[in-house]
Amino acid sequence: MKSKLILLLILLIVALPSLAEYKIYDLIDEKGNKLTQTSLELTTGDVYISADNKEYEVVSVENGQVKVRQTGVVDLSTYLTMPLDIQVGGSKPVIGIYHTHSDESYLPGEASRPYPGEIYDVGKALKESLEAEGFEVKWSQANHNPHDGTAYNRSRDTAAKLLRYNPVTLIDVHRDAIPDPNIYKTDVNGQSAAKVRIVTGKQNQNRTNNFEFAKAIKAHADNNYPGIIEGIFWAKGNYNQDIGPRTILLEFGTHVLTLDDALVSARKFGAVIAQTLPQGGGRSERSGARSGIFWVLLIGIVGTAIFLLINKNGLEAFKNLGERLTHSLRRRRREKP
Amino acid sequence: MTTTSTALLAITALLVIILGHRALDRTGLTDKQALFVIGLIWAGSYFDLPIGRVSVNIGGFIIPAILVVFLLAKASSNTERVRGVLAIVISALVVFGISYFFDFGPENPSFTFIDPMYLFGAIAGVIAYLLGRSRRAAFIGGLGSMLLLGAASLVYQQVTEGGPANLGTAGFFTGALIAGLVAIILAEVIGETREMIQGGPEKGDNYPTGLKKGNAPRDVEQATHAFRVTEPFLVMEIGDNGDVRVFLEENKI
Repeated sequence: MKSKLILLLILLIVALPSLAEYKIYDLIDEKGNKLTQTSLELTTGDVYISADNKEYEVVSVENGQVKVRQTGVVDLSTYLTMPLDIQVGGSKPVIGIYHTHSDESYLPGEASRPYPGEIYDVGKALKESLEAEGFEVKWSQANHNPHDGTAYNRSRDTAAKLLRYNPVTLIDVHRDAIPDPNIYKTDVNGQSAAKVRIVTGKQNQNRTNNFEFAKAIKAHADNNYPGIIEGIFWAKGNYNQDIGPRTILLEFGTHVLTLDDALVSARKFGAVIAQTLPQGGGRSERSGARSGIFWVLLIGIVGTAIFLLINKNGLEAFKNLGERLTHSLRRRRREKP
Repeated sequence: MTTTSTALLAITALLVIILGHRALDRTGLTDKQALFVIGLIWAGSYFDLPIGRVSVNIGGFIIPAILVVFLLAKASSNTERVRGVLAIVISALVVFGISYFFDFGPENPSFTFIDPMYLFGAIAGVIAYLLGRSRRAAFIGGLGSMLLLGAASLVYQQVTEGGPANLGTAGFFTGALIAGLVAIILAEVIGETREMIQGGPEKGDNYPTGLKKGNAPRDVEQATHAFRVTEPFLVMEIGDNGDVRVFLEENKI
């Protein structure tokens, strides 16, 4: 057994670097048009909403190309007329901001720097623009380096800590790593700026609410600053978005743009979020939460069923439980005077 | 937060508590002890211990760390203890290796079929199960390795860069505890399925403690008698110094 384990470890160590080869995927539609690029590992069924609100579903992934097919056009106008119903406690709604990847920076300097990377400047700009809109912002400057696979484990602790303030939304601020600047380059009111990509993970119970929230943000962003949103990915992944409702990940440009480009967008984004989260009534999030409840309960029931099936005495234990309960009830009845 | 969102959070929390209780039950703790540990983690998650600029959470780090040490100390033999420590170290090294190459973020190549939080637990759990051959070993390995890796990377970070940081402040939902849960669930599935296929547990040195003659605790060197009355077992032990102990063995086969 030990030799097998050692062999497995050696294989793993040899195979890992080749598996981790850096890849950029082109998203190609049915007509062969290149829609965008991403280094996000996509799988069949993942969804991308483009800047012009076309919804695409991933059909296949091969040879660095992600084939997608258009499934419709999303009508985001309803998000403008009927905003999300957010129940805000207290006089000043709280928003939480943090940075899972503490090293992320922009050219012309190093794209990855020791803590604090330039992404903290983007976070600070976003914080100030949100404060100008009347929000109380809890901006965590916690360090989550090294930038490795356990960074999300570390930032989970930060995200949960921010949840103690009961925020209306939690934003994980990032920048992308696409080497083509044209994917993210835009201008806002004549100023050079970075587009923002919204990433929502599907592997959690808040998936529907978070996706709805992302669409609402895009609706308001398009209305105020057309073209500022690169698109929305609703793909496999979690990014700690299981931790609470309206937990999103924003990519402010990519590393080949400048910090100034990202700052322009961050300064505009406060107004976008403020319009997405108005105080008072509006669109109910109930359906999203209900679907979450359904999935959590389903997982619980299926898990219990598997547990009982694989446990030799599982079902018997339940039978015995019934017998024991009846027995103790009978005994109590007898004991009653 | 809407009422339904709160209900969703409550149901998720309840599911985690039930799972946590079942998991701790498998580590050899009694029902009451398991519930007590869960209560400690829950209450402790509201308290942070500031160490320099690092907030160390009582429920998300300190209590789980004590639990790992307690479970290792409670092990029936030195071999089991050594296996437990080995499982923690090897699992931590493997998870470190994987996390070195894959950042699991949307900007770099990663596996997306499973959240890293669950993946790490699964890997650590399988390694620990193979080394320790028990649900308890899987839990110790899954939880212990993630606690060790979390603490080690934080020490490295603080020495090289500094800055404010958090350790275990997600309390009950902290990555290490979820890894421990996943590890024990996976070990349960693998173990039960394996035993079901081969028609019962394997005999020999690794015979499950619940089936061993007497299942001697630490203070009893040699057990002499064990007889099955009904489930759970009634176990009688006579130690070297003549101590006689009779107790109910709660571990299921």
